[in-house]
Amino acid sequence: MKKSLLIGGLSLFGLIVICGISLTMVFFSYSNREITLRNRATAQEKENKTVFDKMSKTILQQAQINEKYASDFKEVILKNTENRYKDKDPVMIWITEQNPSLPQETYLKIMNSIEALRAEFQQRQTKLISIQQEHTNLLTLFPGSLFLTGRKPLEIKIVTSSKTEAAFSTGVEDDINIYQK
Amino acid sequence: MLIYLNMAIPVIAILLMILFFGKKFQLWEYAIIFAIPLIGIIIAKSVSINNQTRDEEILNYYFVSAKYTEFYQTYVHQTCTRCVRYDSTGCVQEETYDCSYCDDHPPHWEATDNLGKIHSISENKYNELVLLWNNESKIELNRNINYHFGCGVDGDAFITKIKNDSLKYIVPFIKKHVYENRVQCSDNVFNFQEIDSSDKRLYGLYEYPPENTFNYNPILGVNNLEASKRLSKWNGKLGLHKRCHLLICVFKNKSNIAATKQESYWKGGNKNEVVLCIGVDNDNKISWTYVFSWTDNQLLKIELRDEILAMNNFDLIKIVDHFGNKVSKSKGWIKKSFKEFSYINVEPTHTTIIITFIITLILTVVLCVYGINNRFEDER
Repeated sequence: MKKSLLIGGLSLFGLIVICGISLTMVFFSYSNREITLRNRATAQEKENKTVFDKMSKTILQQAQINEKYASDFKEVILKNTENRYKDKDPVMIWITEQNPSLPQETYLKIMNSIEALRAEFQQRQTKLISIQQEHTNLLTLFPGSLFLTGRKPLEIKIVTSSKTEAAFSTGVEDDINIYQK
Repeated sequence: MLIYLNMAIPVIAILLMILFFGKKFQLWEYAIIFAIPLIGIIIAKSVSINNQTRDEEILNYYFVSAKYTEFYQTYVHQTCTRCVRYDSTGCVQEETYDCSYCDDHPPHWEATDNLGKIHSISENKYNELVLLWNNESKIELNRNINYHFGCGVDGDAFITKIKNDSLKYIVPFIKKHVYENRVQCSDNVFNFQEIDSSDKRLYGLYEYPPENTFNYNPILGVNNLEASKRLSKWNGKLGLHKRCHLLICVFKNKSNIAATKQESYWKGGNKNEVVLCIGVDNDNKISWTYVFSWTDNQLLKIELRDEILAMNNFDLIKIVDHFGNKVSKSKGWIKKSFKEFSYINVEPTHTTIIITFIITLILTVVLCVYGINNRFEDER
């Protein structure tokens, strides 16, 4: 009788110890995961900043180079044309010669750069949103919600435009004319 | 984590056993009631998560050399012993006898890939390589053959090597590679919309081509064997260094929504894929193009899209070459590492949780009944 009581008591004690250890491990696992996600979001936000900086600088500088190229091109063409037409009947030359045009590749390149860099930045922002989503799930879904009560939701910075913000705050988008001035 | 709530069953059972059948249990029996369901739950969880996240990508290689080793036969002189008399202790008398035999070594054909791995190939495949590379040479193996009556045939080896890595000489082949894709089964923002069968029919979406080691067809939507072979060769060529896999999907008289639906249907494609979708009209003109891939190099996708669209005429060989050249010359092609998505949490499915619940319940009941009725009761 005594022995069976001892076994029962030991088993109960063992069970309580195992459950206690398991719950502590689960708590630390949830807590670490929450902190990892928070850190990851901070790192991602910093990375987004550098990507945004790279994007704006690349686009701006490419545009500046293009502008310079276009003005230089214009100058060269004007000079050439002036020299060629000097002391000649311009009407005759107009008939036989084709006007040189600014190569469109330069513009295509900057268009592609803008699109690619924007897409890259969008992907990074999506990743940040994805991390926030995982964090929110962790905080709000059972059983995580049980272990992580009191933890603050993750706040992230998403770069949009004032136009987008206005459209989402009012629920109205009026500027639908793509050729508006 | 929810799946571990199933552990409540053995815990409750142990408490009940302590209360009502305390005399009939020993400590190790309680441990078994706890441990076996726990092991079952851990296995069920890992199987469920593994099934959900398991994905396969196609890796491409090509052969760089092939070898044919001829049949040879040699007589092996050998003496063996056997027992001729036994008693209760075992063998008491042995004798030796001649057990020489004629040893046959069948011919075999093997090929080495650009990674240096050796593969066993068929005779036909070897002959195909010999015909293509046209530089087969003999290797004298100088075997020590023992001739004995009708036994004994000498055999040598023949080898052929690829001349260079131009497309003409490339014989590609594919291999499946399993990797973890946590995006495909999550509700994460990176995942794509689910495509139902009506969308699939409406837009004429494609399944992945069947995995055929030597005759893989990376072009879907048109039957052009030459173009398919050429793209496979490009894949073989780029497979090792660029670690990418190129696919083309052709949509006849469909809007460009078909391409985005295809992207969703394939969940963005596998991590090493670049998928070029082309819309073609009745006049065989390219009406739209769309490129999807997990690569971080967006410029490659945009330039490829615009350059193929600018071709105007749907000339598949030209498109394949442009596609291959573009990716091979693109310094920025980066295969996405899906370890980046390791933060995405994947839980066992509801079905797994329910099945595990039932199994845990049954196991616990069986173990408890066993504990009550087994012979260890008397030892107390």
